[in-house]
Amino acid sequence: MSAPPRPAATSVPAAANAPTYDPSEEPFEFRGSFKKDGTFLGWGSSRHGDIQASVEIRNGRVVSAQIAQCLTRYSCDVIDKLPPEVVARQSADVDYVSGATESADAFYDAIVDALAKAK
Amino acid sequence: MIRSIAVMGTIATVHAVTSSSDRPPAGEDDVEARVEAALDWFRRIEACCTRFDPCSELMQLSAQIGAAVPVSAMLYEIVQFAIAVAEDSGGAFDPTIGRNMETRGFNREHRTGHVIRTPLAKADGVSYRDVALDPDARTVALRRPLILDLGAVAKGFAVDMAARELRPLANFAINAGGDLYLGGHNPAGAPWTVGIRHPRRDGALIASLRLSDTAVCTSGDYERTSANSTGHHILDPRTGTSPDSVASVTVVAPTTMAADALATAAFVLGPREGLELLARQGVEGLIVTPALERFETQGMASACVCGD
Repeated sequence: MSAPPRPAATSVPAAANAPTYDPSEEPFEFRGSFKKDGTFLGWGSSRHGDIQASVEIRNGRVVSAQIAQCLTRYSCDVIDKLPPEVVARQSADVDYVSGATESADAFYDAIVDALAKAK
Repeated sequence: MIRSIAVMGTIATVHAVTSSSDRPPAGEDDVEARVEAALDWFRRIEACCTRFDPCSELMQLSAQIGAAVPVSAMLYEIVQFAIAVAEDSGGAFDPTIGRNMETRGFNREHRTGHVIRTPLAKADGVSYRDVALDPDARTVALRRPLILDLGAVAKGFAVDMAARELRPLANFAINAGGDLYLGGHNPAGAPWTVGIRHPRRDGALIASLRLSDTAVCTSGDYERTSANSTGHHILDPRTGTSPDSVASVTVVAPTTMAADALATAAFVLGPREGLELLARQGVEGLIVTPALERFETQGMASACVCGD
């Protein structure tokens, strides 16, 4: 997705897709539903092992979600494309994939665990 | 603009394609508001239909056995659709769960991170025939002690409601754990490209589709298993066993609710009967067997970009 023209107003709705972060311009002006700001960690598990996610909350909104630790038997390469999807789009040769993945489930559980701590 | 939330046991993503150079179809504020409104449908429908909150409308309904209980228009729509698919598939799809499954520890709160999906086991012989609907009075009566598992249907319904919210924007995508609705075009101005997960090779695709203004869902035997179960999570409600003639079913349908429920039903029915069900319902589908044989409806071939 190409970046939309940046409006002069303070709200920049498509900030998640902006190529660079400009600290003078807070990307999310509106307040999200999470009570605490900061970085929170959570765990999720699958048959193949455990995944730890880290979620950053700013202004009550999720601004990033990442795999913090991957303790699965296989590498987390399979879900490398997932974390950005929490705040931005999934990009690959295809726009989207139909059919859930087990590692994605574990990542979801880890995200939920982390988000519960920001409530 | 893309937003994701953790909801309904999955990650729901709403993607509104915003115009880069042309005049946008609506003001940016409108895009923002519509994306938020679309995500709100997921939260609202989860609150109504969750089995994990005794105060949800669904669980309040399950607490009143034998009575015709007036329900909200939203819950009625979801229940009546689930029952309609159950009837048309001869019970291969069945949203009812015996209550004694719930008392055996299959009722843990999924938001703690310990997710357990309740198998659709007919432990005490209940079925969709024990659910009576009255469309005029908009009531649901449970004739025997049972609980409705509306999980997948409710998730599909949420995607469809979110799609309705985004329709004025024309170009958008909604992804709820691999259940997709694609509106209009992708950011490149072409129909959305949707990969179908390979049922046996992690990270690989078995086909890809070019789709616009339609829903697509895939049910696979690789899906999440319950913590203390050895088989995959799709059970044949009629027998309580795991079907083994299908590895995955992909359905392309006008609504996500139909695509999800029909994919599950076709999975249970197997390649031949499953394909018949899809054809009868006027939807397109691809059924892949564990030996990777493909069975597909006639219209599927035209959407399929094979050899990918």
